[in-house]
Amino acid sequence: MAIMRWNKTSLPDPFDELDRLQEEMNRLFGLTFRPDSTGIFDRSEVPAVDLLEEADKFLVLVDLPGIEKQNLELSVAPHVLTLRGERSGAKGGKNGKGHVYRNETWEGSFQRTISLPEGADVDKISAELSDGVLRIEIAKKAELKPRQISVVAK
Amino acid sequence: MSNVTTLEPQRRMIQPRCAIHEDEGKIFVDIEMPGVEKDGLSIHVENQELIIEGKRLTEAETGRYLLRERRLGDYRKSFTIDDTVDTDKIEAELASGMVKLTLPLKAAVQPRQISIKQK
Repeated sequence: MAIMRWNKTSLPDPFDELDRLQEEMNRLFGLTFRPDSTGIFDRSEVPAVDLLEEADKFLVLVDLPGIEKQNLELSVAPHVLTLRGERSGAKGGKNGKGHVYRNETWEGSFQRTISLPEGADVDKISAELSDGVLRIEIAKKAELKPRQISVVAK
Repeated sequence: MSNVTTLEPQRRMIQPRCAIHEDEGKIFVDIEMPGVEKDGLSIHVENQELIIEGKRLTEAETGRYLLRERRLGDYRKSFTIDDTVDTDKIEAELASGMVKLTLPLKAAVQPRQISIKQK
């Protein structure tokens, strides 16, 4: 039996494989009409959120396609960030009475609460909405920022 | 199975959500593409196929993810369109992460009012 070299680089990410399996299952159950949801495992209608930690700040990214600034409300408590919003259904045409062939999008209101990690300075928050992505930057408290300590030679 | 999606290891293709409806002789297609700017959007018609591709031009974030729900990748959606759509008059609009397409139907397939003459 020949011994094959373990070629690590050609191996796909195992989680990709799981994702694909889930997509396959969703297809079997006929759930692919809603491709962005995770099918039978999760059918909630809340926008997807990313929370990242950077060296000097926390970053929150929310996908909000089709939502205007005036329909968004962002509020903050010491450790909780709350995002409320409303989206009216996408309707072209004059009266929106026409025949609907397919609708995978949702309409209505949503609310999303994100608990902020320790050290987020809620007094220093900025939020920006562009191209349907909301970007919230929350500064880190000074004591959590990496600090350079100078070494004194004697 | 021939329709199994093959995934590129580097860049994932996301099927964006869409809504299609018809009104007053036009078909409206709305596609969700958050994060796509005008420069990253390409719409073309090829052999009765309408292809909409959206690329996110913003660079990937460098921080450590504490929560990750957004799917990153490029968007691609294709539709088969037939002769009833006037492909020369397709209009597209991009606003706050939504692509709005207007596909006018050819006059020949639109319902027509026929006036009745009285004798």
